[in-house]
Parts: sequence; structure tokens; C-alpha cells
Amino acid sequence: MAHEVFSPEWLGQWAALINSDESLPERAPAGVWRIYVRAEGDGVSPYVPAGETMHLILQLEDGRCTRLERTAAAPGPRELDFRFSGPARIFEEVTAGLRDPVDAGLTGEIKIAGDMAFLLRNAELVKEIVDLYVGRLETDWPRGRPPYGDGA
Amino acid sequence: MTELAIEPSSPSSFDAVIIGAGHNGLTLAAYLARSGLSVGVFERRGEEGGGLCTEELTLPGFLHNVHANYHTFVGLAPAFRHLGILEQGVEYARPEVQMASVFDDDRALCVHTDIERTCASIARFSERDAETFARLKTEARQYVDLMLETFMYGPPVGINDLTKALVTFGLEGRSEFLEAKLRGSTIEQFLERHFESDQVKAHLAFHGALCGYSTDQKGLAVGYPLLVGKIDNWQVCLGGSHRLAHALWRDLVAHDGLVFVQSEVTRILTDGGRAVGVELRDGRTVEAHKLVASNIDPEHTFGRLLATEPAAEPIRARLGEVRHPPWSLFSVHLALGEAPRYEAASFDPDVDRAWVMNLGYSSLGDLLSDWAAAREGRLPDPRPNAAVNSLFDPFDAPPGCFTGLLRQIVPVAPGGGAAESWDAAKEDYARRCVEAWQAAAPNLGDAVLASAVDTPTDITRKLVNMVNGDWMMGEITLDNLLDRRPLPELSDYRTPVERLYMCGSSQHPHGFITFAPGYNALQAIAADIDLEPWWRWE
Repeated sequence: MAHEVFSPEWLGQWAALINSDESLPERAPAGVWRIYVRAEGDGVSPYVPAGETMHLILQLEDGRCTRLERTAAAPGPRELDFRFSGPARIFEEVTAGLRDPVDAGLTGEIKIAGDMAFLLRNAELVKEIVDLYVGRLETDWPRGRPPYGDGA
Repeated sequence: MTELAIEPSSPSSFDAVIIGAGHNGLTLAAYLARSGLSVGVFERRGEEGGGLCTEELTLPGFLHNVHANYHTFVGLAPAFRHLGILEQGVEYARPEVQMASVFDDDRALCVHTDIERTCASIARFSERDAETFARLKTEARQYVDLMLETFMYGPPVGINDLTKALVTFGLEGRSEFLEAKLRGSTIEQFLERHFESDQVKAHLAFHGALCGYSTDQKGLAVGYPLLVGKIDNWQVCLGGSHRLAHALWRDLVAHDGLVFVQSEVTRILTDGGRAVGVELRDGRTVEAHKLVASNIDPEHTFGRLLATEPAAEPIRARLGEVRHPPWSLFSVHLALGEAPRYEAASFDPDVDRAWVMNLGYSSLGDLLSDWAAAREGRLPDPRPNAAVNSLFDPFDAPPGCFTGLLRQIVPVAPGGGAAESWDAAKEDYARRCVEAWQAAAPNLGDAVLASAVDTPTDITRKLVNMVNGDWMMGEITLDNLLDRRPLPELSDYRTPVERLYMCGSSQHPHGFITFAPGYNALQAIAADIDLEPWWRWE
């Protein structure tokens, strides 16, 4: 069943998808890893108003998703390990399968910060989680689906 | 611990003691001081800065950058935004004509800050190469931030992990220029693969050589796209490179840190395998409550400062494996009564406005022969590079006059003999270098007011941590970079001596004014002593 993009139900579906992969805990690095997604309202996205920011925290613990939720504010510097930031429109285009997430990272449209050596060492895992997000999440777009037209 | 006063009323203990006031030591010190630690930096020489060294070498009023002249990470290194370096009294000029090559047929190729003008210059040699360069530069510009974050400002990643990630993320299919086989390729092979004009290839290889990359070294093609990404960010530090060191010092002092010059550290003090302080040349000691960081080379750090420390023995036993290149740079500093006017200006007038000049490499073969000569201990026929900072810096020479810098790739010692053999050879070789410049710019025949020579041997005499004239503090080869540099056991900035860290250019990524070893050592220190990483997400 499709849920509205970025809604609690949609995030819950994403968490369930991650946790449905039973091999992940065996392959994932041990410990807690916190990923912060910072999507900036860019005047194009109908889901993150212009000038506002959507904060989203994904926490993996021994390969299990133990937290995936929107927060009111950015986490403190000790409360995250990686940050993915960029215009909300870009994240929505990735969600809709219109933009390749690796290209978005490579070209700087989505900026990646954190321990890049760790990301590279765990490239297969990262790719798998990203593919889950892009390929298998059923998403509802009640306020319009990307591409958004000339404003983009 | 002995009580001491290094200077009247100066403290004898700090949270952090840094050995060596080069730019990486100052960078680490400034971050730690901003984090609330008391920091003392101890420097052998009479001025802070290390390679950021500017002196009146020729005549009064002529400021020569003895060592670091080209600043290519301005605005790119995190320290610029975290430490507000540009608000600390240091200014830069980014010449519109960044660099140029004048070839033996008196044609010229210029790299501008404006990529369209660069491509127009390249197109005079090959339209296809101009199109290729535009694609390469556009692609590299897109991912330069990610590449810097991945390759420079973070702990080193292993080449195998890197290659695997390239494949996993499918980058080969997305990029015309990034591919796993680069790890087995030289820069020359990369250029041969993508470009057709001898002159274009020569200029792009020259740019790699200026960055310290031997263009015939297998594997260094991996880093070449990153070099191209910042090919147009070469900047002049106005008033001399030492102004950057002064800016870092100002930031440190503003946060209650201290730099002690003429205060050579002769021993690292330990207690139970843990670094607890340092001893100075005059026998006084300084206590370090939390950490000691060495901004100098591993040979001095472990071979001399820790000569009897049992915990350091595994590293001491491997110091012979620390790699230095067989080549170095021979510099001639000149006081000039006029700026060079190049014969090649009749082909492209912009060469007279260019900052960094290639004066002799017209093909990849020319550069290859210099690498070969250096490895065999032969002095190559001079094909120097040149720079006139005064074209862009109103402060580095008296009105109407100019400073000039010539640099030539040379063997560490001519004839493969003792380093001191440079003392007898240097004046004649300097004359030949100047003649090579005059051949390209004949007006310089009467323009040289004075000169001063700096050989590879002189580099080490002034900056003892640059062992064997090694201006990059460790050979730039794929097996001496990333998690292999300077030794695998030291590559994460920690050492077998607890709370002793390495933060200098012998560490990943390498020399040059990158701020990266100091910044990366900070990450290890922050994790170990539980510092609030206020800088991490800014």
C-alpha cells in the first residue's frame, strides 16, 4: 500500500523494508550508525515548504533499522555519523526513481558528509539500502509527483 | 615533572603539546584551542609556518617564498571556514591567467580561471582536446567536493576498498574519466588515452608535476581528475606565504594558544608507554596532560625524539621503509627590474599575464626524460617552471620591481653523490636555469638584479623534517599514499605510543598547503579524548 512521501507511515514502510532483509545484520558493521537527511525547501517541492527544512533520522543498529523518523530540529554534532543534504526536490526525484542517487551524490546535488572511508568500505551495504529506498518503496504523491516542471 | 618557565610567565604544562609550527601543526593547534584545550606549539626555527616561509633572500624589499608558493586549496580546505582564515588578515589573489606553457616553437597554451578561455587556448592545438578538457573539467568540478571529502579531509581509505566501491556504485558507467583501471595507470597513460596534442598533454602533465605527481608513476592516474578539478584554483598569498602562517598563529593566540619559536623539542617524554610531555633543547620540560602531536617526520619523531622508548620500537625498526622520492626541486629566487615579456606573446599575449609558467616541456617525452635523469642522479638540461608573484602581489617587491621564482626537477644529489655536492654545483646550474628563462623571455637578460639559490640540500638544512630534500614529505606513489602512508601502522594518525599523534605532511594525504593531515589528526584525537566535534557538520 502506498503512503504519502515523507509521512510517518511511509517512513515505517521503509524501515520495514530494511528489516525484511534478514541477511543485513550479518553483513552490516556492528554498532549504531545514525544517518541524518536534511532536505531544504527549495520553492519547488510541494512537501517541504520554501525556507523550511525537513530533518530525518535513520538509525541502524547492528544492521537493523531501530529508528526512522522526522525530527523538529537537526541533531547535535555527537548525534549523527553521516549527513545527506540537498534541495527537497532532489530527494523527491530520487524517491520517484527519476534521478539516480549515486549521480546525485557524485555531482554534489546531494552533499554527503561523514566518514567517507567507512561508506566506501561498506559500499555494497550502502548500495543495497539505497536500492531499497529507490526501487521498492510504494509512494503516494497527493500534492504532485516529480518532475515538477519549469520551476525545477 | 620539572617546573619551568619557557619565557617569563609562560606556562610549563598544556593539555596539548604540538611539535613543529608548520601549517598542519598550527591548524591542529587552532582547532584544539577553539575546543577549549590549552595548547602549546614548540618550533625549532625562529618563525612559525614551516614551509610557509617568506624571506628577503635577494635584496631588501623583495619577499621570496622559500618553499610553499602555490596555494591551491584556498576556500576548499575545511579550515578556511572553520577557522575563518580569510578574516585573520591573509589575502589571496587568483590570477585570471593561472598558468601557461611556452613551447619550443614559441606557441603557447594558457589555463584561465574562465574555462571557455582555457578551451579556446587548447583548441588552437586541438579542437578535440578542447572538447575533452571541457568534459573532464566539468565532470571533475561536479565531484571535486566529494573527492576532497573522500580522499583528503577524512581518514584514508584503502585502494582496494576504493576500487571496489567504484565498481559497486557503477561509477565506470557514469563517468568518462573515472575507472577502476586508473589504479594501474600513470598520468601519462591517462593523458595519452584521452588527449591527442603533444602540447596539450605536456601542459596537463606539467600541472601534475607541479602538484608533486611523477607523471610516469603507475597508479597516480587515480588522483588526476581531482587535480584537474582544482586546476584553476592556484592562488597567490599576498605579502608572501608566511602571511598564512601568521593568520593561523593569530587564530591560535586569539583562543589562548601559544607558539614558542627557537624552542626545539629534543625528546618526547613518556610514562608507561604514554606520551606525557616533551623536553626542549635547553633541558627544560613541558607537560602534556592530554596529548602530544608531532608535525615533523617519522624519522625524527621515532628515531630521535623517542630513541629509547620501548613502545616506539616497532616503528623505529621500520623507519628505513619510509619512502622519499629520488627527485626534488631546485629553486632560483630572483629580484627583477622588469617583468618577463615572452616571445610566445606574439602567439598568445596572455602568456605575459600568466602566473605559473612551463618553460620547456613540449611533449610528454620531455617530462619523462627529466624523471629519468632525476632517478639516475643526472642533472637535466634545465626546463624550469617560473612564477612572478609581483604581477599579482603589490606587497612582495619594491615599486616597479618584481620577484621571480624558477624551479626545476632535479635529483636529490647530482651525480648520485652526497647531498653536499649541490654546494659546488648550484651556481652553475642556477645560471643555466636563468638562461632557459631568458631564452623564452629575452628582456630578462638585463633584468636580473640579484639571485639566491635553494637546492634540495638547502631545503633539508632549513626544514629538517623534509628529509633528503623531500618537499612533499614522503614519496607520492600509490603504495605510499592513503592507508599506506607513511607506514600502515601510522596511517590513522595514531602511534604505538599512547596519546602521541602524527599530524604532519608525512601523513595522508601528502605535502602541499592542504591543512589535511592536521585536520585528519584532529578527528582521531577528538574520538580518543572525547572532544565535541563542533567543526564536523559546519
